[in-house]
Amino acid sequence: MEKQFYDKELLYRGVLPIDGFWKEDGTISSAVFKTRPGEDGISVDRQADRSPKEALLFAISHLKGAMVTITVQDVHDCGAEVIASPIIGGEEKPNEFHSILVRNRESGKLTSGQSKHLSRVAHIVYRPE
Amino acid sequence: MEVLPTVSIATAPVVTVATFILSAVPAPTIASHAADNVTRDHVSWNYVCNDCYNAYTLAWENSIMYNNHKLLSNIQRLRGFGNFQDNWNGYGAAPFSKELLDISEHILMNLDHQPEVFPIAGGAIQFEYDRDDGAYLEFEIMDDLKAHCYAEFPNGIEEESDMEVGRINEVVNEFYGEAIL
Repeated sequence: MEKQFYDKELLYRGVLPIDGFWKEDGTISSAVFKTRPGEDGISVDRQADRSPKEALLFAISHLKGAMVTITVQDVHDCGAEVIASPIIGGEEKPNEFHSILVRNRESGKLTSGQSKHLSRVAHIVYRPE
Repeated sequence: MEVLPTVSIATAPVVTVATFILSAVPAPTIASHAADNVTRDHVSWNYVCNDCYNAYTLAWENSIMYNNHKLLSNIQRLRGFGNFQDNWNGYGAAPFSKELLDISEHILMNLDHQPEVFPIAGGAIQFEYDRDDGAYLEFEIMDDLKAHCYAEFPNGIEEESDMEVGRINEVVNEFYGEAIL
């Protein structure tokens, strides 16, 4: 798999509970892109060298809820970074596409402005009935 | 001449009426109306056309109804967060403390404008406000009675600060351009 991220590469983030993050105007809340304590950054699946459909099918096979995408360019536009963080073993299911969004190389937690920016540019690509 | 919502406002959807009031449109004054068809507004103390005054009063009542409806809906939603179990977001989020939910509910009940309410995986509750001109305001409510406030304005300015939760209503009112008493 290509290690470098490319600008148009899609990043997939699960949204659960399904009705928990939708705003009245149809967009999603920035809360989708906020971390929990102890989390290194916002977990996403990278598209890598797969087609969008293939990447989506993989993402919904292990992430519950709805699915939104942003691009690597979207992440850079707000000054944040995306870092490959494949899950190899341990308690979690292995996922070679796992990556994290961080504020910068020194700090994990996104700023409120970065979270808001990402929620504005996110596209809803899957929403189960 | 100012176009007044005297006819359409009675049948307009509640949200539209609330928006009309919340945008702080000043009540029309006597200047544009016949002098024998006026009353005195109890808030601004200006003379107001009777038809406009009635419409304005109706809009005000509807905005209160809208706010009450939104408050009930928010409280119901907030209490629903209390049912979230471990890993409720699929990324390992912990359940919410009852203390945080109680604090958030108390804040909601004391707000002049009801927000949209969302859960944060970090163990906080988020209130969001969107103004018609694109301005945005959010609060992250923590269980230590602190809130993190973030705002964006159409001119590109961003503001961020930490505050006591007791200041939230004041900040929201400032956001909507209303006088703080």
